Amino acid sequence: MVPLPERSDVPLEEAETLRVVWRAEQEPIGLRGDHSQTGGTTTGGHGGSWWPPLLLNWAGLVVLVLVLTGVPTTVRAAPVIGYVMTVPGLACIRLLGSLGRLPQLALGVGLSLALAVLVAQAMIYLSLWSPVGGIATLVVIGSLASCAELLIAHVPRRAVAWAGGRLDG
Amino acid sequence: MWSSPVVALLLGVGSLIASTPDDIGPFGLVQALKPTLFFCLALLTASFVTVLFIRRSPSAVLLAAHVGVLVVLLHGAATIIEPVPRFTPAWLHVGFADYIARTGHTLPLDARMSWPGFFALAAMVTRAAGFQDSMPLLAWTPVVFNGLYGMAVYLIARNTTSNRRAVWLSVWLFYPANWVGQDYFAPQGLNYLFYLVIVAALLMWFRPSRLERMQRRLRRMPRPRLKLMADFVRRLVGLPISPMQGEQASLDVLPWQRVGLMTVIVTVFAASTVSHQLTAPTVAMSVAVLVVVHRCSVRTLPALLTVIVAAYVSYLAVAYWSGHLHQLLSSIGDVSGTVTAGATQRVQGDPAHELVSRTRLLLTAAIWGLAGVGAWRRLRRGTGDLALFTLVVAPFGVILLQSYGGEVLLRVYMFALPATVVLLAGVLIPAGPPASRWFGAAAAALLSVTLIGSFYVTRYGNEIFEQVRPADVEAITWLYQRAPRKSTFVAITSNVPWRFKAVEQYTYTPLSDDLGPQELEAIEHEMRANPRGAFLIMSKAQDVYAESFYGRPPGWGKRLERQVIRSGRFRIVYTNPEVKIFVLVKPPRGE
Repeated sequence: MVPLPERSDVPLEEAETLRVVWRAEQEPIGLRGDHSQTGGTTTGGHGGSWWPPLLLNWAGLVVLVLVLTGVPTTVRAAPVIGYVMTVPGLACIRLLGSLGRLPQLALGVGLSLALAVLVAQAMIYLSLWSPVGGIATLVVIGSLASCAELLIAHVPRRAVAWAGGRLDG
Repeated sequence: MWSSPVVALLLGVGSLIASTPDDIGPFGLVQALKPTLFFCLALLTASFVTVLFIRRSPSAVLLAAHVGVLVVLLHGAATIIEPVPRFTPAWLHVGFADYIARTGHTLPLDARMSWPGFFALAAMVTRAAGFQDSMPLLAWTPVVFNGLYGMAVYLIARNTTSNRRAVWLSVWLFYPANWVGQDYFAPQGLNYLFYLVIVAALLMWFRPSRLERMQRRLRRMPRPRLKLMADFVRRLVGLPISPMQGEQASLDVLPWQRVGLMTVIVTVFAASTVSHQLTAPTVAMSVAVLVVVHRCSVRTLPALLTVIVAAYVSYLAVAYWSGHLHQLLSSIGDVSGTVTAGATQRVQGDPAHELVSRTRLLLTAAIWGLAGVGAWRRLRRGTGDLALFTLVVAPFGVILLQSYGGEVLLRVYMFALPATVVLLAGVLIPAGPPASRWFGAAAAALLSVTLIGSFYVTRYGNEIFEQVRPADVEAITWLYQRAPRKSTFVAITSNVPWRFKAVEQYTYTPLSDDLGPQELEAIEHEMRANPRGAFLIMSKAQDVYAESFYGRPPGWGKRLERQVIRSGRFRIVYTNPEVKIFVLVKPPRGE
């Protein structure tokens, strides 16, 4: 929460009105899961549900199968475009821990498109042009990121503690 | 309250489907719209402002639904009404992507191909998705891009105002205020998203913390006499002691998260650098100004961004600047020339086109003026935000660089818009006690209705020539099937939906807007230049463009067409109700 602005130039009776208005301004109508509250904190670390990274992983697999098997355009167009626009970036952003759903999604889409642009252009400059290869590269990036998230977030704490103990010892 | 957006969407889309492109007139798409659409937009606006201002705790999902319907009705209007995707430059971009998809190389002849990232992306995705080319993506690109912009604008507003109602009003106003039309299938549409994402991330996580800001303030405590003078000036103009007391600080993240977020920002910037020539320098400029005013804590970031841009231009865009370095450098610092090209010279053509251009300028001035009022109101309340003011002002620095074909003022407006709409919302919010909320709601409705009503003129005012006519597509498709490779396609103006395929296999020659007194000779000379043959394309779309944009007299195109036919030097090889294609009659032997 932002503190009430110090308005030392304001008379006392007006200050109370200001306080009421200020409180009214703070009424939360943000999007669910949007952690970008004023002066708030973004929690670091992982430990969320295991199924989002798994889903992102499977999505990559499905897209790769659709592209490689030459499924009709009507079936594969939407999954391929949707995947390229969201998943690789989202999988990478999720590695940064909880940033809030909307910031995560916005950054995820931006990063996905950026990665796709860079991969596509790199293929041109390296004379390795292959649309399927490009999609496969993006799937690898997305899958590696989501696997890393699974590993980081869901390695049993016992194992970490054990490894820590061994190292300390 | 859910019924309003649903009804507005169904009735609005139905109304757009019932509209016919034949009704598009000199003032553009607005002449083809049915009254039902305006009723739907009025209903949607009334519902939105009621939810936003009057409800005690408005649902974010409900507000988002209102915004979503607004995006479809505003930015999807032309897509729904017109039978083929609009805007010929977008068709050219399909051709560029098609070239890359076929060859895996960039086209050396065109400057835009020095920044091929967007076209490479389109080529890769469409081929992998199984499309023949990028044409299926054209129609709905503006709606998709605008939907994505909305997320980033929400985050920008969220981190520059503490009032949630103002955040939603900013997002709502962004759409009718975004009349510039750079959200079509083009590199700049994608790069605008990159710009918004970078700005949002910097505002969220890379502002100085409250502690840093306080320490800096203590370090730079002004001398007592200066402080007294500053206080006197503040009181004189009616500002509080700390007009930016309520400015927001960075969200707390762990050091490793900051590193990760900075990597994301730099990656997005790199993608912007390789895919559009103007956006990356604009981002670098905005970041540099944020650093100068101490609103970005990563003080070395502008240097890094500049190095990335310089490295790319020096190594991978040589083909672009090596040929016309003088031309590029000559416009640096020519502010008056750039402003003249951007404002005065664009007001040309027939009276309707002039009116549309003037409406755009007027609306832009009005929005900036109101944003100024909003900025002042926020300063008076102690909720000014220097980062926000910076993001409005910084894009003007682009004017120093180049005129960008007279379009630079449009781009400045576009890059300043996310911050501008937040200030615009500051005019109306906070509305104060409940009684004032009704007044605030009425004022917001009035502002929204004005912006939405003028949007159809400012955005779609040139639709009479920016639409792509099916007859043109039919003729050009015929031409691609019949014309021998390496032949020349000649058109009177550039308003032809060509080059969407086989972009390198033909020579495309749009003649200038003024052919001089010897029009036929000029056309014939151009066609004879290619021994492999040439095709002259004359169409209604070109006539309309020349009359509307260049102010040629009405009937000019038909007169020229009659001259071409009567001259006996040209032979019709294709005709449909709107297009005729000619070839040269072979000269008699011995000539």
